[in-house]
Amino acid sequence: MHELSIAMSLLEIIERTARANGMSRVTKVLVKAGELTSVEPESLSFCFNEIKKESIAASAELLVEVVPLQGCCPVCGSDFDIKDSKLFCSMCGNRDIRIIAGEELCLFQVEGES
Amino acid sequence: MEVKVVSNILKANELIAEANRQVFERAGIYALNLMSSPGAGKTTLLEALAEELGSEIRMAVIEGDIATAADSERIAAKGVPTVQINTGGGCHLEAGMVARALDSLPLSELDLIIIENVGNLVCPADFSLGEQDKALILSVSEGSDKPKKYPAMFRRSSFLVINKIDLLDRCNFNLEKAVSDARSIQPNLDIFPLSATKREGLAPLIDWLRQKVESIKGRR
Ligand SMILES: Nc1nc2c(ncn2[C@@H]2O[C@H](COP(=O)(O)OP(=O)(O)O)[C@@H](O)[C@H]2O)c(=O)[nH]1
Ligand SMILES: [Mg+2]
Ligand SMILES: [Zn+2]
Repeated sequence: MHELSIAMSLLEIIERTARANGMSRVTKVLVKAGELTSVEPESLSFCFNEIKKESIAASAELLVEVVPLQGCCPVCGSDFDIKDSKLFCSMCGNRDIRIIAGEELCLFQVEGES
Repeated sequence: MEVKVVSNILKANELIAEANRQVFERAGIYALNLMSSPGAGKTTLLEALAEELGSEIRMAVIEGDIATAADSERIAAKGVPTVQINTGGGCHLEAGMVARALDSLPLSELDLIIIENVGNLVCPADFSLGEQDKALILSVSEGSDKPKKYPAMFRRSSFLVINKIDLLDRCNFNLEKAVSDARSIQPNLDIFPLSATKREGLAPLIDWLRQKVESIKGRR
């Protein structure tokens, strides 16, 4: 359960972004959370809604999009979805793949009024 | 107004982790982040390693726990410098806590630092501490289905200790399946089945650590 510390970092980045773009109020925030991160979207929203109250994002809605795992195979070059933690190439069977999506935890978009 | 940012939320931790990494590199220290669920045997394994390696390799231990100094006292009893971090409820260590712990260690006199993370199979995987490698302990009493249930931990680890093999018969643990599931998540995973309390099967792990320490000292 470390969504609180993540929510705090998130709010900090939102406040910085809002100030840099001359916003007076943040209305909506989009976060992308990879499937392979330990973030529980519901508990992140809960924490965010608790700590946003006194901030520029007091009335902001938080959307957390879970990014499914995707891999890419350095042997045959194919991209593919990774299901059920099957971390091998679904085309050629190679096991030493690269993960290209599903490990990120990022603030993706901030919407607000100036 | 819509602003695209794409800003890593874990960036603050990663910046400190990078600073720790540079501290380790400058001092020629091999740092390992040891993770497992509570009770898998992290502290017991560290006690065994302190006994086996303590006189040969200059090592220190950073103990992460939610509360109490019980674990650091166990390690310090083996004559190895130890720092206790209490997270006060936090479910994982963060790089800043390790940075502060490093202040109280004699870095120039060390070749190996092992960091015992808070017992948790989920959260520590997301927080780099600046270590060169992460490692995971799975004990046979936890069941052989864990690799599939906690893939992030297995994916990011360099080696896996399967501990408490003295209990294999009693725990209905399918060693072959655990090994193949773990390798399907991380094909480069080195796997060391052992018993930390019985001090059995430690030799391959000790060789592995010795090689890492030597290769880093060689670069110094
Ligand atoms: N049977 C058996 N018990 C073990 C072994 N290693 C650790 N234990 C026991 O497991 C319990 C938890 O060990 P500890 O090292 O404190 O786990 P930690 O929470 O991961 O640091 C203790 O009672 C240990 O004695 C082992 O190899 N075999
Ligand atoms: Mg312990
Ligand atoms: Zn392929």
